[in-house]
Amino acid sequence: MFDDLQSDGLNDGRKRERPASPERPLSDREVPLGPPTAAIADAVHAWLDGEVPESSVRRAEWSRDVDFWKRMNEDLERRRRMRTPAHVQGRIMEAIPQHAPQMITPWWRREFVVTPTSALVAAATLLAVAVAATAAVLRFAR
Amino acid sequence: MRTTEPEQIVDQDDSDQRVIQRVLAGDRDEFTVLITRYSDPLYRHALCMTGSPDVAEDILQLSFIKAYQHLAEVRGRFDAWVFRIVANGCKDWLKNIRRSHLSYDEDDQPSGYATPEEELDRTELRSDLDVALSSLPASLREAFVMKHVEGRSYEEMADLLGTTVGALKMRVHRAREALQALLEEKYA
Repeated sequence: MFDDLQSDGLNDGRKRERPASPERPLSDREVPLGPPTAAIADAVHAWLDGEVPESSVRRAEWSRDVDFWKRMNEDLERRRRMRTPAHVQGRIMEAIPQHAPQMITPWWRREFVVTPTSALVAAATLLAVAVAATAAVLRFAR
Repeated sequence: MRTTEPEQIVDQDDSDQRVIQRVLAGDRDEFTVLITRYSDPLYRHALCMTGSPDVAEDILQLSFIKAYQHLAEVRGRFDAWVFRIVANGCKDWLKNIRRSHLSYDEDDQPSGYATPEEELDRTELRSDLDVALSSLPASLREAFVMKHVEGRSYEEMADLLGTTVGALKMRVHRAREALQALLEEKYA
């Protein structure tokens, strides 16, 4: 926020054009309903986005909004400086596993070994299934 | 978390990949490099989303544990990947918890406020802004925090959240308008 508060850049006062994008999914255009809202001019939003300098919003009708957001920025600035408490890193390192992370491979991508026994079992199973299926088809055909 | 210089982004990402390779090779302690590098912005996100330092610490810890366990699956930028883990952790927590009061401890930085009156004002503003933020829907709060606390560009936010710049601008604008409606009588 206020990326450009000190900027002396020029602002021509034109409203920014929004690119038409009718192909966007509906979910992208949905904004959840929240608490009651105050109307903030597009120019003030543009200033808060750092797109225009403060000088471009120094007009009487927007002074209340500008003063309000400068006040809010006092607290937001403090939040931007917050640091992780010193003990947290140690806590995390104590909690992570002692062994190196392993690649978790889905079962269908895992390599499997065919032994003579497993090959015989698989062949017998396939034969049994084929016999059962054939018997069922013959019975149905009568 | 992320610099604005494209070359530095590549360097940082490349460096992350080297650290990850060392961790995967068995150098567990190298993971502290990634924690040190990214914990502050992630902690700020979790704290502003949940309003509770204890919860923010827990979410950060669980997220880094998850990141460690799945480190071999990282594709692309580590910082974006771990941010999504933290952001999802915050959203899951918000789905399950309703809070009536928010507060968190002072940061380690010097306050810069000279008098007790200024300190009192600051505490009151912080508390009021916490309550106002907590009243916003999670998606608006998330967008506002990413923009105004984490200082991210809309393009970066869109990349991290998998949505469009236009949708995020709308969320940030709605959040500002809601916050102003809640607080302007006292602070304008």
